[in-house]
Amino acid sequence: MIAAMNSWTCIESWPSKLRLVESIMFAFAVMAIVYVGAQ
Amino acid sequence: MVVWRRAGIDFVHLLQLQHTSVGQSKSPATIAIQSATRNSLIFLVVFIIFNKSIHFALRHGYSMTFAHSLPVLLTIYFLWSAFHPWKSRKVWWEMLARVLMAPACPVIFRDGFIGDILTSLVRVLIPFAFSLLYLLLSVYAWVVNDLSWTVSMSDKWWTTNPILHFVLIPFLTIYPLWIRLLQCLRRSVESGHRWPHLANASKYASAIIVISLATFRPEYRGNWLWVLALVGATLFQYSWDLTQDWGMLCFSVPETKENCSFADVSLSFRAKRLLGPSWVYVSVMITNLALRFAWTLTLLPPPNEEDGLTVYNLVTKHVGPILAAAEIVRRMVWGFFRLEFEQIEFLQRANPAKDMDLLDIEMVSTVSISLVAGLTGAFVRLQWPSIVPLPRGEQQTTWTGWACFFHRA
Repeated sequence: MIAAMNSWTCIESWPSKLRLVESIMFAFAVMAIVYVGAQ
Repeated sequence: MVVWRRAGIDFVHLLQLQHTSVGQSKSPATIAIQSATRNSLIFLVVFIIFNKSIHFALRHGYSMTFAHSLPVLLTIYFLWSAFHPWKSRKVWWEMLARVLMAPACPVIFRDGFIGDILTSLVRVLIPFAFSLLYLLLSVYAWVVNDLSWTVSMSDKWWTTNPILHFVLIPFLTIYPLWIRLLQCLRRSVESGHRWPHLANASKYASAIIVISLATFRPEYRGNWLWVLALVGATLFQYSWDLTQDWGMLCFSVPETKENCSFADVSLSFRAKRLLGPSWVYVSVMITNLALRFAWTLTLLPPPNEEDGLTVYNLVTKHVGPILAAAEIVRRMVWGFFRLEFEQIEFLQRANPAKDMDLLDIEMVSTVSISLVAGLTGAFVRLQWPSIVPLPRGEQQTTWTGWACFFHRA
């Protein structure tokens, strides 16, 4: 389990664009929750 | 600065201030103290003259033009001193601009440090916005030759304008947290490590969600789920302070065991300490827990007078200003220990072969900080120059908490 978490934490092998997409999705998810909560 | 210097923490290098007047000065603390003293005195003198002028004008029926021109002149002075002399002020504005433009600029340690300070200044930024509004209205009133108009209009705008309550205050409250979130995401992309950056981003995301719900949907404030989320987000921030920002508590795994599970993980107190004995650290941990919850209260929107006498209104209206001041003190103490841990990590990175024998920075001055925080504020008591070398050969299982834990596993 710890080994699995250890490998999950590292995404160096991912292409940089994929890492960027992941971060953008994270930011949009936060914005979406705030937007839905505000409605 | 005095605390950092006495503890042997090279804050000029860690915060990359070498090219600033503070970094080039032999006594950088003197610059900061002189500047703070001068500005505080000017503010207090103007404040007293303003009050006396108002009373005098009201009692004798004179015009209040002079009194109302004082806050405007004071604001103009502070703005002028913030930009003049431009040669030395420019570097500080550039530092702030780097933070505000997140995630456009590469994130260094200083950017995160400034971003965290900004999150503590929410209750300062809101009155600051009011000051700027007051200045603009006063200038307009000056043009139309009716300075009394400034008072009535600024008050009215401040209490009733929907743009203020649904745009400006939420923006000032959430934007510092949003900056830190974006900085963490950028570091995750650049470093290729989810840990600790995505977890740190989650910390700011949880704060943003909880605060924005309270801002846009005030009826949620009484909901137990929202209260639970508020407590959870605050505890998340607190645990992050202890394990990551300060590194006071370390998660350790046995070095000899190959297939270790979560049951083998133990929590230990960091052995290498620059800022005094262990009781100082324990007292700071306890105080930080109380003030962390206080900080969350300062982020909540101002009370709505129409709701009448509620607990929420009482707390935010009367205790709020004190909590805002306490948050500034908390952030100051947070800064002591944040840079201490960064210094220890820096030395560890510079010389990984050794297990961070802090005697390399010989005769570290031990600074005892006793923090007594109460409703009226806090003070920091410094004891020096008690030159006490740290114990040699103490073995530390982990240095960076979870990060090291994962790599070792």
